[in-house]
Amino acid sequence: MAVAEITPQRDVSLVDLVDRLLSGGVVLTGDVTLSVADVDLVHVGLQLLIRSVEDDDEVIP
Amino acid sequence: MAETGAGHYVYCVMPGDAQPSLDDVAGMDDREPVEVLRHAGLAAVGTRVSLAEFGAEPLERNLNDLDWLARAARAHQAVLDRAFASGPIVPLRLCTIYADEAHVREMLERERAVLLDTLARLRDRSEWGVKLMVDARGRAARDPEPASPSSGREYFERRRRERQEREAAQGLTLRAAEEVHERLRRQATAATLLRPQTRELHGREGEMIFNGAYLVERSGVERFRAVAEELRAGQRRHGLALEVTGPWPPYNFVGPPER
Repeated sequence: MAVAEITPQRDVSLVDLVDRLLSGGVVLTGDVTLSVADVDLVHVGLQLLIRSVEDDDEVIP
Repeated sequence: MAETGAGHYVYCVMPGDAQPSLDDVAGMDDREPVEVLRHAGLAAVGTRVSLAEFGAEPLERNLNDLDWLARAARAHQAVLDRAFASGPIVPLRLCTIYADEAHVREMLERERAVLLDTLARLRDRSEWGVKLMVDARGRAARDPEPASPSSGREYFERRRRERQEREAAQGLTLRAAEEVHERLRRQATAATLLRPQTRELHGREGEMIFNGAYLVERSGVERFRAVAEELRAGQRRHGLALEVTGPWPPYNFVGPPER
């Protein structure tokens, strides 16, 4: 079975939303201004996370 | 070290006389009301949040927790939807947090001119997203299964031909994306090209080759959607799936990052 076939279908609208929220919107200097909201870092973190979620799902019982 | 105390989370900025209906919307913390702070001719929509959850350190962990991120994204969007229904908004980047209301006021004063200009520019306009996906599986299925080559020459001939076909297909695909963008751009006040989502992010079959965002006048939405639908039907014949999302608050039309 190809890996792609067991990858769970992700909520498309949620991915679009998160993508917009993390790369769009005006960046104003806040107080908890995210050294973390360095967007690319968050983006990378998100992708790593998604990959790890998929890896978990691929564990064969 | 655990952080304590509260911060003020800001979702978006609106004109000072905005009257968003926020009474029954849950924000980032459902124990705290979503409030409008009016100052300097502007209104900041926000919620008190706990720094134990939204302080810099816990936030970094939380943003990388997919469940937390999904919940936060939906809460943020729910508030923006309400605000956006009552007039123009400038959405802030997810998780912009101020120490207290005094700091929000300072921000409104400092950014006043830019925020007012942006609000005026965005009035009666919404963002629409258009993506193009290449269905890799569909394309592969159309290629006939080749018999084994009878000679080295035939083998290399075949490789060469395959490569030419692949490059020609890629060229056609990119031209199709360009055409889509050109036609939609004419229906929009502004357009911007976003980074196509990687496969890790969209998690689907095929490849995203195009991810555009369009700022559309309210009176032009119907026409924009009709053109998109026409393009969708046309692209499907080339094995390309065109997807339209919207209306979104104008996330991608709030100008260059202010630093």
